[in-house]
Amino acid sequence: MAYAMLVDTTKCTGCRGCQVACKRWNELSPEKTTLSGEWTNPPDLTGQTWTVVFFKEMSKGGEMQWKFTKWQCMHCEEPPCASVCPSLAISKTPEGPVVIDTTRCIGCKYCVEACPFDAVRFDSRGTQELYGVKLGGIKAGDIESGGGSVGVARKCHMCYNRIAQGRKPACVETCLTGAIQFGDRAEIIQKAKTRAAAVNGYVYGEKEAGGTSVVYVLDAPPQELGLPAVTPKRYSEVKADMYKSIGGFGIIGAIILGLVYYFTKPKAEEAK
Amino acid sequence: MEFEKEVKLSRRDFLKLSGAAAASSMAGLSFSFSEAYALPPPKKKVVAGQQINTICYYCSVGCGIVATVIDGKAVNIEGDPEHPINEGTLCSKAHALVQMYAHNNPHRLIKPLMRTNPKKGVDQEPKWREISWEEAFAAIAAKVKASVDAFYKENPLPDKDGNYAISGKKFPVAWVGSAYSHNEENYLFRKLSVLLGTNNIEHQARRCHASTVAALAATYGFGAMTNHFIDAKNSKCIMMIGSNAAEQHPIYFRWVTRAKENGAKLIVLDPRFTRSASKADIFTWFRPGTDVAIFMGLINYAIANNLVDSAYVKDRTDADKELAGGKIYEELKKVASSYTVEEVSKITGIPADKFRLIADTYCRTKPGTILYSMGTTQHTNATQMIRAYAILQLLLGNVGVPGGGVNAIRGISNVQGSTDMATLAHILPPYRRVPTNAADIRGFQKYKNLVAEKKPAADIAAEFKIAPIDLRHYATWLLYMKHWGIYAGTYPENDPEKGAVISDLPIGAGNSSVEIYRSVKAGDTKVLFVVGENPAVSNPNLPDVMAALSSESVFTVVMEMFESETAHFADILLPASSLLEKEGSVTNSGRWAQWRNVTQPPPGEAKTDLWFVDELFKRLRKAGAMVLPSEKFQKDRGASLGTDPDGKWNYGSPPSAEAVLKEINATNALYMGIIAADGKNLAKRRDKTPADEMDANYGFFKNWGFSWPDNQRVLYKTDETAVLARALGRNFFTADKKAIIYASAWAAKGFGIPVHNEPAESPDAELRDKYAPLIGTHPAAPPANKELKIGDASKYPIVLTTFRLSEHMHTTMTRNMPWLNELMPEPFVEMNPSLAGKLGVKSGDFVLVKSARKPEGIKIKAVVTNRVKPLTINSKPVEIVAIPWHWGFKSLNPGSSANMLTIDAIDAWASIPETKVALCSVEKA
Amino acid sequence: MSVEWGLDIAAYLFLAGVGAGAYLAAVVASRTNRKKYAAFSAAGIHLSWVVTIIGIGALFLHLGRPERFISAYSNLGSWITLGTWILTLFVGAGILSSLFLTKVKVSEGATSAVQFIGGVLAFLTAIYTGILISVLNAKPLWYSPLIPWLFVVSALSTGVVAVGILLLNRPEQREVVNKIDRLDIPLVIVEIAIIAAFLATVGARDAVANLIYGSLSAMFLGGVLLIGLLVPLGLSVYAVSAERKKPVSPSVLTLGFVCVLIGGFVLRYAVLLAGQI
Repeated sequence: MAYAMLVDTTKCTGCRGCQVACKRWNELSPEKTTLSGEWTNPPDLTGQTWTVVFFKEMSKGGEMQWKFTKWQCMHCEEPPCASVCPSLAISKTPEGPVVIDTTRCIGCKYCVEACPFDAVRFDSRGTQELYGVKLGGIKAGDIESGGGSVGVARKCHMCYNRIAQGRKPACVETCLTGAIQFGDRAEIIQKAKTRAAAVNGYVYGEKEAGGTSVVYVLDAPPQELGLPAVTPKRYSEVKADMYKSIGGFGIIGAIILGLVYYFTKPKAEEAK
Repeated sequence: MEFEKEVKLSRRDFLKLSGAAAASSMAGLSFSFSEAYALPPPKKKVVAGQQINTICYYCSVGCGIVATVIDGKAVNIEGDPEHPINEGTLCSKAHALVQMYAHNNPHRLIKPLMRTNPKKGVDQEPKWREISWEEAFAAIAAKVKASVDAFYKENPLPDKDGNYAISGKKFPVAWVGSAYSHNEENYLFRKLSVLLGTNNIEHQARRCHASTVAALAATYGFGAMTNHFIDAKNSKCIMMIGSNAAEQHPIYFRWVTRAKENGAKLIVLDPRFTRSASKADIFTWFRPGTDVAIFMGLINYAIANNLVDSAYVKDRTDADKELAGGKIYEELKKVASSYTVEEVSKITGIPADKFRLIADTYCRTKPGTILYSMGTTQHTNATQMIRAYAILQLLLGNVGVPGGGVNAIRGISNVQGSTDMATLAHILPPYRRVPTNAADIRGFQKYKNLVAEKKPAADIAAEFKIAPIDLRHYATWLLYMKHWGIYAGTYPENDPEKGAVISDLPIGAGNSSVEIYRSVKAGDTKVLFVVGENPAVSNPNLPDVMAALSSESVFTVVMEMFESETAHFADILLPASSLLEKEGSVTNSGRWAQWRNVTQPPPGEAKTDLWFVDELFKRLRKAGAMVLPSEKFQKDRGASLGTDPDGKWNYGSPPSAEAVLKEINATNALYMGIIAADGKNLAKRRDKTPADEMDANYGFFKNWGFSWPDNQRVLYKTDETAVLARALGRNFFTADKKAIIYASAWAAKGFGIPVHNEPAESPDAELRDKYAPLIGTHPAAPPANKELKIGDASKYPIVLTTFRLSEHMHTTMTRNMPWLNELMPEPFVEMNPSLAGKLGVKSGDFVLVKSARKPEGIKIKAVVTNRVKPLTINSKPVEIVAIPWHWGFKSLNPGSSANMLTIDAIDAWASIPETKVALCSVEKA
Repeated sequence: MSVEWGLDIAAYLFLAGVGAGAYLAAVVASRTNRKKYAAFSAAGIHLSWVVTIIGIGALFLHLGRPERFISAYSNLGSWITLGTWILTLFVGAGILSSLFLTKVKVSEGATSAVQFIGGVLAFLTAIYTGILISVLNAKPLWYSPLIPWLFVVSALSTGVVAVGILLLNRPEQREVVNKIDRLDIPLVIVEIAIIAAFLATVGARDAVANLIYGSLSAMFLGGVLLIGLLVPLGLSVYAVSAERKKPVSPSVLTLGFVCVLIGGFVLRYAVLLAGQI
């Protein structure tokens, strides 16, 4: 069964249970942060922070609004990160999660560059305790790989290791308002559309990058909430387009060079 | 799928190019040509090991959590999917619970410590020396004995009237704590205080919902949340005022969300635009401290627009009763009439049309429920605010109805239980008064004699000219005489009028929370126990509190899990176990008593509060530091009163929580039935089967845990099935089972019906003159409000309010957890761009916030936001700023304390401090 | 956004370009006039794999887990894997070519064959460094079909002048060096044209603004356009016109060549940065 996650931001209260649940389940390091303006903390995803809730104050028609948008890997149907990974460390599992095998990752950061949602991060520090407080778990530190977490790319893996035990991702299970749901992808998309229609809002993730396994319901345009605009083309198509264009320019260039050669060479020969 | 094909293709191509043989022969390679490269093995944390259920630590929603324990170590804590309230979901704080264990958190205290630096102060390092528990108890017993001996030397028994009784307030030992401790522990704290001879015992409840208890008890009979958490889903209109449930009781908001999904409307009123407000259908800002005006305005609106449920009011309230000038309902109408929409707008800053919208929506949509918490309770007139809420709900017929009620959302996980166990200066459990004076004891003797004669309750009540329901105080004292092995009454017993008064129950209320520190400062309290509380951050007017804790004349014993700000001033610091490491019953705000289980034993030498109080009692008795007045009497006169406090303190060795619960079951009228007839502990029940159709319809979960009284889930619902025949919770707990609109006890000072009073520090002189604050010479002002440092609006023109964050629980635990400090690292002051512009401040700049309690101000980061905004009060703009109060100078992320600025003015009826509103000034640092 | 592909990758792209361009130029020159360009060709071939290996060193510095580099050969759908194969083979061909020129004696046919294959690999090396980033629609500034061709032209010009620098202290190669200098003129003009077309057509308008008058303008206008293109162009034009009357001093030539090299490096760094910030 191919799962997907629904993030209904219209129900989110910004409690951030999902953020700490993720840290707890994956035994990730806390970051040292400061507060400046909006309450978003840490300010962005990192190798040790796989989901962040973005806080955004807005005003619509004189009415005050405060929007909370959970952000993490979108688990694309055709993930560019997996496509570009030279060591085949990233795979799209049949259940839906896109998982980085950090025992194979060579730390080239190509996936970081290739992600159209900018959701992959390179972990240069590795798992560290702060103030000596351990991170719980069976053994402190990186559980997933024998090699430790330093120098590899990391991101949300949709708790594939909970799904394997018949449970749901940690963020889904903790979401107290039910803003985050989990289920069959087709059903999730249907739910998203119904809800988006009810709130006069937007669905994000149904079409982006050819479809993702995380689908959002938003009540403001995605770009207003900081979500990137992403082509609906699948990555293979994106690449094919580029190959065609490169080839096209190559041909144009060859023709131009040929013409230049044709018009300049004979003169030189005559000069001889 | 194209992608999969591509991946497989590339592998096949590689094979063609290199030949699998060659590749696999290369030593040390981790190639694998299986379909998907082997992913790391899934974590076993959820299914392996032992799964132990218990109840979350933090707020009073009482969510279920499950700890995974492998080889004796808890490795994971997450939500309990089986629990009916949270259904596996949790807030951010609960997910960091694994960082509470000592094996993860090196900052947990695990050894008793003694101070070697004789000086105390914020800047004085304690210079701890590790000691043993023996040494600790020896020091404590010695100090208590010394101060007790000195006390009795100055106040010998018998006293000048020939009585063997002591004042509850004068005793030199005080006890503070704790809403975190289990019911059994709080029960023994209170028992210990009585046996020691003091009513100077307080805890967080005083600063939490003391006003709720006073107000709702005076109106409905029981001073607690009327409905319960899951019940919110049954509501059609939810009004949140003084509550920010989405942040502070997050799982409650799960049920608010359900209600919304079923078409309910959410109305939020708050001085700040909160995370709750972000989900509201209707929101308005209002000036903190003006709730009475709002609700009297709503009452006025309901009456004027014929939205009152007359049948309900006639049937279930005292509205029809006659007063001197007419019926109570007429009096209510008259008082409410001055709260016109315009007047309400003038006082509160709510625009008139917004107020009308709120009034109309709420009064017409039923069932409607009111959710409130500290925003309401922490004011000098909070009791009146809550009375106004309670009266409105009566007028609308919303009480005793699923989806209705007055939902006083309490704070800490067991503050409801600790209040029920009366860890408070003015009551004995449950909510029974302490003896008022010697005459009261004589009355008690009379009562005992009548009971011995087997006179019926109605006759006995007639003798005292009170309603039978009011006999409950004496009835409970009788139970304590039996179960605590003490004596209260006269000798000889057949002469209540002239016999010697002997009372092991201390006479008169003790010092309330704010007054305890004043008493420490004055040198009257010589030994102070602070168990599981952190007044050096959570009490108002911190400069005075810290000065008190720094005095040389007090010996302070603190029992804590982490070295808190209060521990910094301690003489002895004892290591406490966490709530994950002990068992006992805990009562959530919805009155559900549930059971906590041990997930791991306490670390190092940390001990449970139960063990501590048990040992303390035995050691104090052995050291002769605890001598009951009745024992002195028996010694002096050579007579026998049949007392046996030692024999009656018998809970096992080590003490067992269930043994204590048995005694609670026998003495606490509200908890009667928690131990079933067959001996089963009902708090442990985890059965979600509905008890009947009503249960299934409304989500009562009557087979889960035990709800007081008599397993009533929605108070005052007359047809709900109960556990015991008396069905105590079905009716208003008053003499005639009707709710009380007119509080005759308070009428003399003008509060028969609630009226608005300005806060102690008011920004508007005109309003202050018209609605005089309850301080100084006001006839209703409590004595404690005559000695306050008041700031004037000319010097401190900005209204300050304090608030909480979802990510931190009060002052200590969560600031020792890096995952939570990551979310909220430092304190800040929220201010509107209008104010920021005037000060030349932008987000991230530091400012000084000053008040009359701290004229030098505190330095704190500014967050410029539209979430707070200036309001038009009495036609003038008033700026409002807000500071979260979690921070202090200890723990992993120290920061400025908001309570340095707040005022220690207290509520006239409930002694709760006014931490939610003060005046301040702000300037760039 | 953090810049994960920074100096180390810029260095690698630059050095690989120099190596590829040097080899390609060497092979083409050898085909044109074996005798005249013997020294040029030899220098180019020797330089190519040395510089490329240094570039690969920069790549190793970039990797988080360099000890696992072998697995980079796994995914033929990835341009890093393809590049890894191309580079491996190119360096192999380069070393082989060097050996055939010096220590190892083989037939003309063998040498030619290896040089032909090496030439193809050199071209692939040059163009793949551009394709590598141009297939990433996640970085709109990179997602342009002109980048691979820009990198090819840049590789050629930087490769050629790198060899030229090697020949500068050999007076008998003066004429060749002058030819290199002259060859730079059309190369620079083509490069400017491609850059202009790239800036005009690429979708990432904010990033382009950054390059032209934003935070990267000093680097781009100063480092790439001025130092990397216009100064060498000017110097070459001057040298060509001056050379008719009397020879230009070696220092002028050196300056021009060094500027081209600087420009080639800064071009790659600027493009990388502009795509990520």
